[in-house]
Amino acid sequence: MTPTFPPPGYMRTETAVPGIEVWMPKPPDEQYQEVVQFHCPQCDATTAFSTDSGSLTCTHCGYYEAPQANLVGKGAQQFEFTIETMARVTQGWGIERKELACNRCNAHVTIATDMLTHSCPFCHSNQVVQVKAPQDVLRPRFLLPFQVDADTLRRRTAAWLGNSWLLPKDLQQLAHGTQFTPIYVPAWTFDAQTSADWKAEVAHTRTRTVGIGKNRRTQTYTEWRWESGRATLTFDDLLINGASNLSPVLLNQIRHVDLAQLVAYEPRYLAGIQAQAYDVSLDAAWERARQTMRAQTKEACQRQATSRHMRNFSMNLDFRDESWRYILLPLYIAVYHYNNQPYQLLANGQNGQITGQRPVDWRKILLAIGAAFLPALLLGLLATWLLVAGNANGNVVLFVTFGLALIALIFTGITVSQAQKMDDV
Amino acid sequence: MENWLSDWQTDVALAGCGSCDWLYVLPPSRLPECCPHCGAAALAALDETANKPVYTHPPELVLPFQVDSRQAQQKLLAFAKSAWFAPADLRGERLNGRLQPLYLPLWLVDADVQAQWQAEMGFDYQVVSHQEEYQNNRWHTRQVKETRIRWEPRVGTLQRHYDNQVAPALEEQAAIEKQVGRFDRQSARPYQPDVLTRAFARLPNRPPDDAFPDAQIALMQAARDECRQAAAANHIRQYHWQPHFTNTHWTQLLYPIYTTYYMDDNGKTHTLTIHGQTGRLVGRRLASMKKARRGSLAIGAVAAALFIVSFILLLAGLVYEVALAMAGLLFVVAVVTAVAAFIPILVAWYLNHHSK
Ligand SMILES: [Zn+2]
Ligand SMILES: [Zn+2]
Ligand SMILES: [Zn+2]
Repeated sequence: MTPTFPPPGYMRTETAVPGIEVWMPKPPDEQYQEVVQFHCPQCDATTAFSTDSGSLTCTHCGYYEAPQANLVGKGAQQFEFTIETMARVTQGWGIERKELACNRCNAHVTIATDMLTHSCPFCHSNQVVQVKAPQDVLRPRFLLPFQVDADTLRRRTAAWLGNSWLLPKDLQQLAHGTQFTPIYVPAWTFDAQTSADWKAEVAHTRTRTVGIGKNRRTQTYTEWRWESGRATLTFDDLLINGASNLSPVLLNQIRHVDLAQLVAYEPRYLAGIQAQAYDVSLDAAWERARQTMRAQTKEACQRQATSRHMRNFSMNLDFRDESWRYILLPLYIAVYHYNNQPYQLLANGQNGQITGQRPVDWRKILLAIGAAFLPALLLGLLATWLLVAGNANGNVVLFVTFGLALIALIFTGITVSQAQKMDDV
Repeated sequence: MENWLSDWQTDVALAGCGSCDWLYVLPPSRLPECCPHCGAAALAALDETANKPVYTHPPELVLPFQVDSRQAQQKLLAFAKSAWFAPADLRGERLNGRLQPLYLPLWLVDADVQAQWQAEMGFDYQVVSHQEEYQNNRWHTRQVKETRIRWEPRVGTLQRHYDNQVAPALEEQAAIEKQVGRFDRQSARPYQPDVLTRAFARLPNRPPDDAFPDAQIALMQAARDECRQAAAANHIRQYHWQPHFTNTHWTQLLYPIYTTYYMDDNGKTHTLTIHGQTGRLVGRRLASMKKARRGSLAIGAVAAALFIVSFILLLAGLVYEVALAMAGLLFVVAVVTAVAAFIPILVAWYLNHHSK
């Protein structure tokens, strides 16, 4: 029994019996501020913050505030699939729009609620505007702060744009002028344990000897035997993208994030950064996650069989300890123009991995292909000439020509497929 | 206060059993030889001042008998009749002659309680889970609901009054309750001296001071359940409290039973008890091994006689062939009878080892 009553951090709550008082631990302070303004303590500017790795830097006067990250990592709270949650989820986020007033210039703007933050299109004030989610539980509770700044990204981009001979020479210079826009994108993480009982008829190859005398020979045949087993798999933080408008192909290339860096959500992190609300709902994302989990469990079951050749495979799978998290992942989006053509870049805001479209210099490629075929062409002419002249070496030269042509063909194939990959994603 | 028996407002005497140490308040004219609890012939009148018991006050409440002695006697007759190889003493009339109505004491405690408490409260909630079946290259998904408990700490204060929390007034209370069963306390009436015109009353051997720790347990359980209700929780665990009791009030309640007894072959006493409210009879129905052996012997003798007759017929068969067939038939009957001779002993043995 605590000597002091009530113990610190407790608050009085409802009681159903007169004469009995009930105290419960205070829930963590989660005052939900719709609009948060960040004033620079030094110059009192409200609009000039930039955010890098959780710290605040006033771009106006240079004031720097060290990061005060509340690092929670992979231990970040997870939520269960309660009846209430699932009922709320199916109601959906909707496509409601919301009117916001700019506190600086008084402009009234209408924005879609899928933007959690918004900068005023008229004065570019960086007020953080949070749209109150209809479901308290489906606000992002954790995020990965940006750990790479735009300058680093520009250097990396320059290298990335210059790392292939397939790209135009002048492309690298573009990197220095590229504007990287940080944006938080939504993601779901899922934990669960699957346990499955399986059975299947597994094929075993047997040999037997048939016939007598001269006809005596061995025959192979398939023997089907029933096998069964049980597989248990634990899934830890399976990541499912929460935004449907981002290219899954591009995201996939930079999706590796270190969730050990998760911090508790704070509006501070969203200063000057746009954030997108999820539009892949929890149940849709969970269904995709479950499909991945059950496929992997099935694979684990089938690996237990003594042979991969089987029929009548069946299994019963049970999910346990399911939980989810709604988090925000840091992403940079950049668009650069080359020959009046826009190209999109995406960068992982945590580790700086870059992906995106790169304009391929097709003239360069054509020249290269031409150059590749040139030796074959020349040797071909030589071979023709030798053969017409009745020279016995003509045959040998012709073979070499075919060889060179084959090499050139392979080179062309590889180059074109690489170029294609860079160009259209 | 010397003559404490006068508090009982009727002509009663004090008697004690030299074998089981039970003390009774009883009508002086009805002092039996044997103790209604243990059946030992060791019941003797005691001088009430020289042998003053630890608690002497008359009860405040009495649960009346709802089964009269005639119904109880019928139960005993049926009990004796249905006994196999009953010992000589297990006879309906004898059981009825020894039938004794008896009141046993129980404490009811009222108290004002002030306390600080802490506990873990469990709240039920449901989660959606999934089960999947893979068959014929297809998945079938099934959604299932599971109930889980969320445990949360709670602390609080309590200021309540509790009535009629039960505490034992006898050392043997737990054993008696386990054997005889519980009693419905709704029909309790104030003590009237006439309840002791035929019945005995057992005096408490645990006075309030001694029974208070047990009363606290009952009070805590009542408080625990109320705290759970107060917090609107479905479950509670790890309940701790610092109670302060005031206005503690003790009420002695008598509850009714009948007792009787019989002796087995070896002269050992076995008590039978009848619940005074429900009429449920508990006690061992022993079989007499002596009787069973006698039965076995009788059947064995018949078997022996049959053997002899079949042997005579066998000899006669040397002259008349018809007698041979009869001899064979009789021999078979004799063997069957010999086997049957073991049945009484086996049945008696089984009853004595498997009856409670
Ligand atoms: Zn400043
Ligand atoms: Zn504005
Ligand atoms: Zn006795």
